[in-house]
Amino acid sequence: MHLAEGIVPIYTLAAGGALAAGGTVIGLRKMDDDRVIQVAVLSSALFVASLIHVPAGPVPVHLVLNGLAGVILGWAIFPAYLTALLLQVLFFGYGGITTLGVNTVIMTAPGLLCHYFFAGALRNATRERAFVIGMAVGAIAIAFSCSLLCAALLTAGRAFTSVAALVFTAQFPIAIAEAFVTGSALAFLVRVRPETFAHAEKLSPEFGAKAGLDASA
Amino acid sequence: MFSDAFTQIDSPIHRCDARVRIVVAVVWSITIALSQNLGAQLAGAIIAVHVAFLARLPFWATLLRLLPLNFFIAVLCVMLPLSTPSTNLQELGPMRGLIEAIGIGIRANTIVLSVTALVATLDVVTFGRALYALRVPPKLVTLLLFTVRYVAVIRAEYMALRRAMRVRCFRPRSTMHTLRTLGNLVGMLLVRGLERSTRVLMAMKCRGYTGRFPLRELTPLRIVDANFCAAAVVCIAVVIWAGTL
Repeated sequence: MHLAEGIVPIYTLAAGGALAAGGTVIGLRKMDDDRVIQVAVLSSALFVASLIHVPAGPVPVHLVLNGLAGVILGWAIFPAYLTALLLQVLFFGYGGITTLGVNTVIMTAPGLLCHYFFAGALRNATRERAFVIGMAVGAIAIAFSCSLLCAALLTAGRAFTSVAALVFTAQFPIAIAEAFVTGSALAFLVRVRPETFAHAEKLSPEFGAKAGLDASA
Repeated sequence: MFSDAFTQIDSPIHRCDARVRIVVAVVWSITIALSQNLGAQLAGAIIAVHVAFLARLPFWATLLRLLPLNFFIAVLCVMLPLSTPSTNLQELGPMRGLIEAIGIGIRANTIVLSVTALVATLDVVTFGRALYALRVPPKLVTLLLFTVRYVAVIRAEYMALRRAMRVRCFRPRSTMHTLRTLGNLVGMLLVRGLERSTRVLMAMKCRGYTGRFPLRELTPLRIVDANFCAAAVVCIAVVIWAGTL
C-alpha cells in the first residue's frame, strides 16, 4: 500500500515531506541512543513480518502491521518507517524518493493514533482484552492508512476518483486479515512478554537492568 | 534478503562519489516529478535509459524491478480514460485520461530507473557514510545500518519458525486458525527481536558503543565528480527547456 511516483502534485509531495520530517525529528528526539538498537531490531522484525502472505479468500494479501508498529514503537514509528521505506526504494524499487514523505505519513499517522488510543489500555490487559484491542488496532490502522492514500490520490485530480474507489475497496480483505493477525499477535505479547507495554516510550526498566545500565551507568 | 546485483559492478557511475550521486538523484527525481508536458517527460526518459546503460545495470534484474510499478500503470491506463470527464465536444475525455496515464507511466519509470542507476548501485555502508556526510541525523543513519543488518538475521529466524510450523503440518488457508497462528508467529518474531536487541546492546556497550557508529569518512571529491555534476546540471536544464517548448 503505497503511492507511486509521478502521480500527485507538488503541494501534496511537499506537505507529506514536511509532516514526515517533523514526525521524524520528534521521533529521533524521543529515542535515546540506547533505544536506537531496540527500534532497529523491532523495525526489522516488522519488516520481515510484513512480507508474510496471508490467504484472505481468493487472493493472498500481505500484512502491513503499521497499527502494531505504532502501539509498540510510539513516536519512533516515524524514523522506523522512514528507514524501512527508504530501504524498499533502494532494494526493491517500490515507491520513490519524491513520494517518500507522503508514504511515510500514510503509514505512520495511523500507527501513532493507535499508540495514543490503545497503548495505555494494553498495560495489565488480559489475553482476551488484548485480542479485542488488537483487532481494533489492526482494522483502524488499515482503514485510516487507506483513507489517507485515497485522499492523496484525489489531490491529483477528479479523474482519480475511480482509482481511489478501487483502492478503498481493495482494503477490506486486508483490514480483516490484519485485524485478526494483530489481535492474536498482541494477545501473544501480553501473555509471553507483558513488560513490552510497561513503558512504551522508554526502555523498560527490566531492559536497562538486564543490560546493567540503569542509574549507576 | 537484500541482493547486491546492482552494487558489484564497475562502471563510470559506480566510480562517482556517493554524496554527489544521492544529491543528483534527489534533484533529478523532483525535476521529473514536476515535468508537465510530454516533451520534457520523453527527454527525461531518454536520459534515464542512457544513465542505466552507463551504470551497466543487469538487464533482467532491472526489468523485474520495474514490473510491479508497470502493473499499476496498466491499471491506470484502463481506469483513467473511463473516469476523465470531457470538458467540451472537441476534446474527448478518454483521450485526455489515456495521455495523462501514459505521462504518469513515463515519469514513474524514469524516476525508478534513475534512482536504481544512481543510488541502488551504492552498497549500504557507503550509503550510510554518504548520508552522514550530508548532515542526516546520526541516529537515523545508525537506525538504517542496524535495520539492514537485522532484517537478514530476523529473516533467518522467521524461516526457522516457518520450517518448524511446516514440520507440524501447518498449511496457510483462509481460516481463523491460520490468522491466529500467523498472529502468534508475528508475536514470536517481536519477542525474539526484543530479547535480541537487549543482548546486542549489552554486547555493544561492552565494546565501548556510545550511541554512534564509527564511520570512515568518504574520500574528498575529485574531478570526475565535478564532471558528473556538470553533466547532471546539463541534463536537468535540458528537461526544463524541453518543458517550455
